[in-house]
Amino acid sequence: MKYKVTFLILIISFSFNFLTGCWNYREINDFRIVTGVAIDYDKTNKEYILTVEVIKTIADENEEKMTGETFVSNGATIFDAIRNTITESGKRLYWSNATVVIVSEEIAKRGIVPVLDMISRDPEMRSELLLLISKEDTAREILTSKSIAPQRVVSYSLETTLENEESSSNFHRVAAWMFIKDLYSEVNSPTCPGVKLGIYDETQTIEGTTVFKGDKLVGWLDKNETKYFLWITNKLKGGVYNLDISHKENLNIKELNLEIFHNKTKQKLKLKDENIVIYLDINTSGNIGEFSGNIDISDPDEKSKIENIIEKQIQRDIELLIKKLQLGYQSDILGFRSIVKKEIPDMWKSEIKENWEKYYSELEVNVTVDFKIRGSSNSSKPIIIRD
Amino acid sequence: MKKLKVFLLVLLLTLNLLISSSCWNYKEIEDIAIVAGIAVDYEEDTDSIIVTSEILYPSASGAEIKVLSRMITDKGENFFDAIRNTVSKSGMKLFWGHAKVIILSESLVKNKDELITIVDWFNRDPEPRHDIFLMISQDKSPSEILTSDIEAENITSFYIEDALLNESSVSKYRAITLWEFVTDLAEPGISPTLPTIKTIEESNRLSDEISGCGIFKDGVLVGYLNGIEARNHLMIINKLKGGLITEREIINNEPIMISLEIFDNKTKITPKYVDDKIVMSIDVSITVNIAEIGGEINFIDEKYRNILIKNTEKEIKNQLNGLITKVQQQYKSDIFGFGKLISEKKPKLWNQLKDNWPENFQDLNTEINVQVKVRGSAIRSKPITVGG
Amino acid sequence: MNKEIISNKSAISLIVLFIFGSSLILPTATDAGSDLWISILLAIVFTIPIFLIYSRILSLYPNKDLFDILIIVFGKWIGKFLCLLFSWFAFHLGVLVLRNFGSFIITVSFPETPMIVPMIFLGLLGVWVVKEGIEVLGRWSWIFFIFNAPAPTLVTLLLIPKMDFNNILPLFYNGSKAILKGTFSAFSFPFGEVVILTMIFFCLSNRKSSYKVFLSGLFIGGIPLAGISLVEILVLGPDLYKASYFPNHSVATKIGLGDFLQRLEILVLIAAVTGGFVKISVCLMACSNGIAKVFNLKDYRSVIFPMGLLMINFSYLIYDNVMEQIAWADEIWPYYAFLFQAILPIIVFIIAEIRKSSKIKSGRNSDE
Repeated sequence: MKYKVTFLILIISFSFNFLTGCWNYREINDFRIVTGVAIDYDKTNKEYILTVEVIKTIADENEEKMTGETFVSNGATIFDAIRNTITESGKRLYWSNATVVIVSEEIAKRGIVPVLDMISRDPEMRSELLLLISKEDTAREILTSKSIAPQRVVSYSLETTLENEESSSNFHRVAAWMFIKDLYSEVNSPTCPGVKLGIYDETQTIEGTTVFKGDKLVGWLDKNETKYFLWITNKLKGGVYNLDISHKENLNIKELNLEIFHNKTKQKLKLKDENIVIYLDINTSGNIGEFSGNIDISDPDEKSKIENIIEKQIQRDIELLIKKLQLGYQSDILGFRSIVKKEIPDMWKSEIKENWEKYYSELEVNVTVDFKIRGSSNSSKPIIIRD
Repeated sequence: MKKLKVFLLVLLLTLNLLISSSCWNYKEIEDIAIVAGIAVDYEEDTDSIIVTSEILYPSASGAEIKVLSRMITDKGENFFDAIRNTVSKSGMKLFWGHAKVIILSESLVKNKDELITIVDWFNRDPEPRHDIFLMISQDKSPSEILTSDIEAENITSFYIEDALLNESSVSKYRAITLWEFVTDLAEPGISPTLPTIKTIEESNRLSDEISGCGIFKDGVLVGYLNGIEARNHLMIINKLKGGLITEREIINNEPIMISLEIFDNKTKITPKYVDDKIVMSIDVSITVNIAEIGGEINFIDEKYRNILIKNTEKEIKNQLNGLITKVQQQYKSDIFGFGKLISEKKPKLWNQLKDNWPENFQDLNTEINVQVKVRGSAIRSKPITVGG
Repeated sequence: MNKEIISNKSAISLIVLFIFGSSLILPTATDAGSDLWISILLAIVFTIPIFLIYSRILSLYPNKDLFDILIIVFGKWIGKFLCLLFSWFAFHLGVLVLRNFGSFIITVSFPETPMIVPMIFLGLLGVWVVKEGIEVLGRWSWIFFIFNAPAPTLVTLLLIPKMDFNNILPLFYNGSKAILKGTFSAFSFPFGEVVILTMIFFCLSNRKSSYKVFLSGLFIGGIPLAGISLVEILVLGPDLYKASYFPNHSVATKIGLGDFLQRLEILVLIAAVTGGFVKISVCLMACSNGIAKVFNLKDYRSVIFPMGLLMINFSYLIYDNVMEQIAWADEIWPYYAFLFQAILPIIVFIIAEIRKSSKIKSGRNSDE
């Protein structure tokens, strides 16, 4: 009988020892907590240059501030470079709090698959890392640039900006795993935002969207084109839209700013004699942010006149972007293949998939925009200048 | 009677307390300078030893007490002289109980006498620990190594120690403690190696990097091995516990880099004596994971996996052959412990060979067999392929 | 052998956890691509008649398990031979599940730990609980079931922002052949494996229990399984799903709600390990029971410990690497298992029915 008790105690203590992963136990002090990583490629040595930003806590007076510090290492592959950081930093890297991965434009142009495999495959890495392409010469300078107080860690301030995508819509945040999912996909082409350094103050700005064909970077959308991209793909949730209408319609408005509140884009497809026609039905509502001119919004006629102007402008901008993507980059980041596969799967499987380039360059897009002004902030009447 | 008994008891206890808690030898913590690590340099022209010590001191800021370090440099005719000179400089005697690393300059390890005196001091003196790490600095002045600008780590010696303790994750160097070095020096069938460290500068910041090792022969440095060679050395002496192998495959004229994460290595060496020639038969078995595929070819499926395995085995075999040949001919120093193995497995043979071992080492042949076993490919069963 | 009875709810939890056991870590029905959830639902439908057959066999001979029934129906020699075969099947399944879990645990959490360590502990704990008897196992599985039940719903709700419905559209894109292949695959893993439970259900409370238990278990286990697979496809997309060894784990890491609710994959891991533990224990109990019946041992308890140790050993030895594990599971298992999951039970069912009706006839004759 008493053997049972000893046996029980033995098993419980063994279980504590082994089932809790004790064989693999790691003290947190034995690690460097990584917040972000930047990847560059050195052509002469044929090596990857990895820059990791880690947290160092500084106890200062009564406060404990978190600041970031960078370590650089080289390696024949990303895995090699990650392990080689130990030769310099002493401790192993801990990835669970990492937020961003920045890849240099050069690597993206050559083909981004080699640097992404590790992120997807290794269980210690988080594939939820947010992907950014550096618009500067290297990805490293982004992580080593100054960070804005109170966030002293560059990666965390980049993450905060990316989380606030909806307020500006100058970029669209993409997690590494979603990028990889789109790489695999036969109907989507991946995109991700770009980051650059300001000219005057060395801080980071996230702006623009990459256009990938396969896994190679072929072009960029600037911040305005990003908005049209988000419009078309029904991902627009906010932001400020600038209209340049001074030469239009003989109106006394020179500039108009819109704050977008809500958007819904419906995509439909119809076949017209072997040609694909995509119908985009856009419903947007927003506020007038600021304008200069002589129009009175509270007057319903004037209001619908403005709405018309806005609708036409949006339509034109969107059509321009689509053309640019069709003929210039020949890359379908707008997800048109997805609509084709959904609506005419048999034709997609048999003909269109193989000859997508031809179909894409020839497809027509029919855009209808319905814009509603919800309000004009605080004042409905313009500022009057009378001399 | 009882009172006397109690009195004697109390007297005994007090005496005990005084003596067994080493009261006679007590040291106040403020009177000693706790050494975290030292760098030793040998100046040939003046025949003097320069010692730079990294001393720990607590610094209170607000409610926090941090441990910081500062450097003291001293010169002397020999090592003992140099460190005694620090008392006059720092006012405190050095305490070696927490010292973690000893960094020796290249000039020092090329001079047998100086090296031996220093190693002997550390071995003999009771204060320093025998598991203190030894390293060779490839810089002109090793004292720079102890001053690094890394802010995440206050005390350079401690993070150098961390890197050495994490040897198994990188396996591009082999951490050697004092006692291992002394044992290998004394043992006839094996020569020691020491890892090398150098300062690097990046983004205006000084830090250190450990990679590769230095080869000793007869107690003197004769050459260096780089990181990959150091890994292969670990493999041959059956001390490889982790790290990685990078392999470059060319499929359809496209080069793809593959990382194989090493989980286990078993190397069995059998000495054979055939036709008057010594042949070391080396059987290497490595268990790996496919940790990274730098392209779209599926090296996880059988077809390409077998190609990958065969090529890796061939590559490792070539590297091992190359390493052994290089060490035999260029450095002529048995860092692999072949002699020691022969003395263990074929003692009669060893008796014939041991007097001339360095020459016999140069002449021996090797038969290397490498077997690579792929355990898995982490959490993905396919590479990233571009679909559309 | 003691007279043990387990309540219906324990039996149902056993079946549910058995179904969930390894399906929570491995992919199911990958041949169907984005339609695999449809395959699973179809597999549930096709499994209904098979489960009715199991239930019928058990209800024809109450308080007897499959081994007793085989011996009664086929006679001593053929019956015992078939018992041995089924015991082997249970043993083999236990080995495979143990191996799956060992490789899952070390791949995802503890890479430097040797695989044998978690397997030893799962195995030894399984031995202990089986020695305690089926009532204890039943009650534990009920507790596990209660504890794990909210997990699928929670996971689904938290993943809604990351879902993309285009991942499953258009429906039936890969064609009906792919869906049927997936259905066959989903039947053999996990639904058909429930045949193992017939080998230990000598303890159901009454004759009608077996129907209730098997069918409820099928629905309570199968439908959430289809649901979770659907969620996995919606989030990961069919390509990333196929490229993952452990899609459920990959999806669980994506759960996040703001800054604080992260790393909830631990809930999924707990559900997986408890399910796997129940599955391994059931397999162990089934094969020990079978061996005891074949060799006329008084009590199956004496064989449990050696069977357990053998199971741990086998699971370590059968594969060299993960790729072989997957290759076996994809290519060979469905056909090999079909023999035990469908063909043999159907034969048993037919012969048992014939015997029953002939007994009734001869019973009537002898009455007259």
